[in-house]
Amino acid sequence: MTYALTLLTFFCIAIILAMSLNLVMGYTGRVSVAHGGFMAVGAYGTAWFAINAEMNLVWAMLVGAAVAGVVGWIFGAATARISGDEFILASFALQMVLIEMISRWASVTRGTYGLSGIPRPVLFGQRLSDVESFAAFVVVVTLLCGAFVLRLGHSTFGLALRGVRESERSMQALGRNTTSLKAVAFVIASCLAGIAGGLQASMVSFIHPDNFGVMVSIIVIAYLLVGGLGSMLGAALGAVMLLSIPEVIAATDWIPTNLLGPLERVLYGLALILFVWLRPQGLLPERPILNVARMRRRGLVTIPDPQEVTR
Amino acid sequence: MNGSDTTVPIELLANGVLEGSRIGLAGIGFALIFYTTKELHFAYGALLTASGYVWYVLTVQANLPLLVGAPIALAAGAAAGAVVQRYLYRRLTSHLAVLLFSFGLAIILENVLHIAFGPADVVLPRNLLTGTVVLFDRIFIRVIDLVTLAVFILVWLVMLYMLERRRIGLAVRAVMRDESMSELVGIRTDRIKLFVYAVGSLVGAIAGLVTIARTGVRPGSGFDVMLFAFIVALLSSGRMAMVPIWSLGLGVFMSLVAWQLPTELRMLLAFAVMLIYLVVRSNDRLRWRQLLPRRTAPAVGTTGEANR
Repeated sequence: MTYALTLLTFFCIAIILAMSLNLVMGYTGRVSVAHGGFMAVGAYGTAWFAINAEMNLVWAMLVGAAVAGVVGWIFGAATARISGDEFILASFALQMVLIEMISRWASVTRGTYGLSGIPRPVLFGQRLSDVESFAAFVVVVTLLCGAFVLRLGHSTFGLALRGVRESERSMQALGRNTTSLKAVAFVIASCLAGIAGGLQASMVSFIHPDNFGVMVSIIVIAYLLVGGLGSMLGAALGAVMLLSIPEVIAATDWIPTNLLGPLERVLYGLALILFVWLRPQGLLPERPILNVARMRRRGLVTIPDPQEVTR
Repeated sequence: MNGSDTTVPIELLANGVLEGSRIGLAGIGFALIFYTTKELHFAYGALLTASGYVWYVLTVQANLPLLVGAPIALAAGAAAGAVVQRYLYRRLTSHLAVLLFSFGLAIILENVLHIAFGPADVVLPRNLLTGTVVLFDRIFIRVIDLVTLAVFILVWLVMLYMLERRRIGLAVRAVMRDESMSELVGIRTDRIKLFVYAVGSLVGAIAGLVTIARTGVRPGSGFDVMLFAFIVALLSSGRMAMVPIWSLGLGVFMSLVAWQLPTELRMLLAFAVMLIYLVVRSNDRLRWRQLLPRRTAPAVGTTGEANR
């Protein structure tokens, strides 16, 4: 039971990560390889405020998310005019810079020794130190984040983001400030990644810069590709599916333990390749927000009869 | 560091040039592929390491002489690059798909090497390359460093010759400039891309062999090499001739950084510079030039955009 609940918390953290990256990569169409970095900022921010300022972890997590958001805002604003391959490179550089900074700024982050002793949150006067209550907390946070992101995806803001992906110039012509749209999407995504980082820090109570390397960012991208770019439920499904791989191979006994890590990563790579190759739209492809057939049934839109038009 | 104050910068400069030539070797191959096909071939680093491993297997496990093993390893590297392009990348529809696919490929290759050879460094046995030579009775230089420098300059010159003086180089440059236009004038862009992948991977394999001869390779070392190849390809922004120069510049810069600051900051500074450069460059054209007096009338119409 403990095992299942631990697994559940990790699934939830991965789901938040995947959904938040989907805002940037799925909706705005900009591939960011910096998500692990934002997660690290959130995790370290949370840990620092929880340990040094002795804050309740719930608030520390929000502060950590805000710190990640500020980093995301600076980056998002600075790179607003960068798109395509160059944005991938810029986000990659940011990822490296963030992780290197965390590794070197030893007075705050304890550098490569890692930071330990991160507490569990206190809720209603009780510390959630057992797995059950913490899992419940994480599930609630995930549901809140998921609801927020889903709502956002179906709002006009979400539509505008997809518009930026399809054609930035058209959105500009429609009077949207695409620069700020992109920046806001990036800020929200980095805040959510920060929350995921805070949850992870509280869950394992020990964080190390290597936990948030570029590999993490790539794995989150793999979640999205498996699930379906641009589809929030797909992102969640992809995260659950890919995270199950290590559990399944760990359950079989015949693989020596020192090969588990590499084998797991081989399978991640294989999943990435197979989905790009065979099913680029993912398991749950993105569907149009506006369901024209249903709108027509309800009489919200009418489609002119072609014969009448030609006549 | 046992020299007086004046020799330290010279030593650092020499170190920087060597560092730069190592970066440049990997960078030239990567940039050639990137500029021609516009695809971020992320598996380049892993393939580079793999050719180092091939050399290791041939010389250590199959007991071939080093000089026999090297061409085979190089050929294997070039062939691997060509096969990846011909049978995998070519069928993908977008640059993004290629990037993600090559991410996957790199992860798989790296971890397969990990499973096959273990995570530790694999080094060649003592040989001619690992020795040192003495110049002017007081400067000790490792043979492999001299070889690296020589190979780097050779690759640089051959690449320039190929691109500037040969027909195929003309075709490659045409595809770099504008792929669909080259196709229209009768260049078989598919073949050019295949050629570029083969040549780029060959240069990458050379970098891989240099790496294993110098420090040994481990499954993840291709990643580190590739990072700098990446930065250099980016800094040169589409001009092949600038790649070696930026590599040397970056090497010297990082070496001089190590003079005043802790060595661990190298990576941080290199990426910070890259990030700042990207941001500045993206804003440059739009804002900062407006502050400067213009010499010519602003370009109108179709110029500029396509060549970016």
